Amino acid sequence: MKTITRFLLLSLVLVFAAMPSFAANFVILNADGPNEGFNDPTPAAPVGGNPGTTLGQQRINAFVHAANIWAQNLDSPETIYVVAAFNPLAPNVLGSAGAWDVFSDFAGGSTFPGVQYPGSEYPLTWYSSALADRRAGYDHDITSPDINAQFSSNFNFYLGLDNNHGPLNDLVAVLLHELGHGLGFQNFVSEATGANLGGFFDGPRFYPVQTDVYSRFTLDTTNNLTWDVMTQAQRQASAIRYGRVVWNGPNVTAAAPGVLSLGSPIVNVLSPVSLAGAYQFGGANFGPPLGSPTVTASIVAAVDPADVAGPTTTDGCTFFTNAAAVAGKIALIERGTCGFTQKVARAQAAGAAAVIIYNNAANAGVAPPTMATDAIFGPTITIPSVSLSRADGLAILAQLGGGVTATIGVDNSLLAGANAANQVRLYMPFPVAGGSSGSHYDTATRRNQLMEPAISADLTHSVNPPEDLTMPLMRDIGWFPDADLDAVDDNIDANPNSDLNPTVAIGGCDSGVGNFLFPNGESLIDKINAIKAAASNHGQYVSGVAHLLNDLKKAGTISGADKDAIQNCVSQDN
Amino acid sequence: MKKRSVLLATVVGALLLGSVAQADVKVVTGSPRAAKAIAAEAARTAAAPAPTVLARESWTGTRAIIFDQATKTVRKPNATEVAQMVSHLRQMTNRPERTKKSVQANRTSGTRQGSIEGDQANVIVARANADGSYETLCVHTFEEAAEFLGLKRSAPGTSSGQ
Repeated sequence: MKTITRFLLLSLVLVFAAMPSFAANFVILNADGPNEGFNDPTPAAPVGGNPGTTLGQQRINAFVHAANIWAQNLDSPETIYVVAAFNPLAPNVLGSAGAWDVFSDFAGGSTFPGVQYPGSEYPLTWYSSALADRRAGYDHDITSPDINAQFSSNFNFYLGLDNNHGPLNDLVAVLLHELGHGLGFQNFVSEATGANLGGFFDGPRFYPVQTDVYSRFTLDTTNNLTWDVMTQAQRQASAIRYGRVVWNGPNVTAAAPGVLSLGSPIVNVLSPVSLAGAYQFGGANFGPPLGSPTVTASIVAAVDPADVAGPTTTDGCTFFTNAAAVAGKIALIERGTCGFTQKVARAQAAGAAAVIIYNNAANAGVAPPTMATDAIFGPTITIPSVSLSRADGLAILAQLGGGVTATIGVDNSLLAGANAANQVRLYMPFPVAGGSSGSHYDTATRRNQLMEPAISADLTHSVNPPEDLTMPLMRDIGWFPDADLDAVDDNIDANPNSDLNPTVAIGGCDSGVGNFLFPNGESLIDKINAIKAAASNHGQYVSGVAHLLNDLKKAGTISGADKDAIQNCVSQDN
Repeated sequence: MKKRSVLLATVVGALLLGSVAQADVKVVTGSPRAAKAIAAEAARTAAAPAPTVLARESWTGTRAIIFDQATKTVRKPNATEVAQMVSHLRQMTNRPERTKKSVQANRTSGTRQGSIEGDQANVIVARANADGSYETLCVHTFEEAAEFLGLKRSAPGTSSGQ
């Protein structure tokens, strides 16, 4: 009997452990007209687990599949409305999606007895509509959708649900990504200007620009400021600090080691302090892969004759005149006139350990390029090389008099796409990439992430660790508020502000018995306090607690000695 | 003792908790919410320059991004395709200046609403590889999409060269 009981108990535990204690409902609002988009009657053969037999039905199935993945992972008492359509778009334009509205400074409602929704966590902070509804416990605007989306009806998406897309673009992955933006994986900052969203008039009342919840977790490690406290100019400058801007949320940071692989390709300046940090770089389609070997050395500017092969002394197109100084060091060369491979070949001949080529004036505004190879010098290159932006190259050049040391290669102590504190990098390329900057994880992350700016072919349909870091970010921005950090989300927490003292202490009397948490979010102390609050006199209080402790003792949860110790404290508590 | 306590507490709690929420996804047609979005999209489209006007902007496709199904090769977009891309990307990224948006509702509760009507949407663009696969990029601005797709604006007074 005892064995059977234990088995049943264990089975129940496993069942409940396997079941999510949260969910969300989605409604896809079909905005297509007859015989188009979702309603396209063109016959189609079922593909990859999508049983639809028309193009329209297959699109619906893919949309429902993607929404269902989010629905199973998110938590909201409010239905999330996504207005969607498939329209004929231009070649190579696949679609768009985003939040319909944003809200701030909203109070939490109380839909069910005992369930108080928290409202906005931060003042003067925009939240995307779906997240705002979730935290408020009510629909802020019953006439509007939360997310709008349109996708191309003439692009050849893979419509299967099994991720077996081959060379085609997987519609489900694209939908997961775009819905992710609409659900809150985006800031509302103009990275080009650094401006926050705002400046609205409501009649005569003017609302100043204000930050958004995503920006509150966007940390620039060069000045240790998050975007919400920066000036517009500081945000504008931060938006192009490649590798230096990270997600500062505890859930993403905690999950990163279980998702990202060790070994981060880097160009890191180690000294002086004023230049230290990770740099955005372009790779080379010649020479050894980065990290083979990793080079740490001083940087030396290459000097070559200004001649017909190259008109300046910085272009590295001819044999260096300071070969002895360059030997064993990282050669710094300016882009232009001759090919990348020729410059690296000259540095190699001088004995350089690695090469940095920075953009010339003609390419001052463009990103560090991926350097092309050629048939002449390319096959001869045996040292690693990278490219840098002109601004970064000139900054290094200006400091060479005092000595600049850098590492080019792979840092095996770093998670790919994170800093030393496991904070995951956000995509902040130079030049600034509009809305792509900031609202994506960095392309340096490995494994590839759903919320990188590009939809990688090797994505799974997971939004959770160990495959993906999207859901931890959703937790950070407040999809699962948990005020007392007891791991029971507030909307299902019977006591969102539990007394989590390690031992059961009542009215100054510490019983020494371990306090514990019930899965509904109440601690044992909470339960005792609730009995006290409901009791009309001391006798009723003591009796009520005695009943509770007896039940727990019978269930084997506490011992007789535990019961006596707690009861003794309760008896003394007036 | 401790394990048993946790086990029982978990069971008791799970039972106290009652039923757990279930995810649900429905597809609905003819919703007023959708009508509102359709109207906003129509307004956005109407506010964008017409394709014929855009064609006169003299954009050129400088990069092979179109996978030609007939020849199984990647080619540059022709003039018509460039005009279509410029037109649609203009429409999809045609959003008011972020700090000058005039639509705003102040709730009596103190809630602030920014009726951005989806104009902060991200746009997915793609360019074809030689094997017929596509690279994608999630962008926010027309300029970024144009850069990724290799669309270059010709100097004023010059032809598109296509």
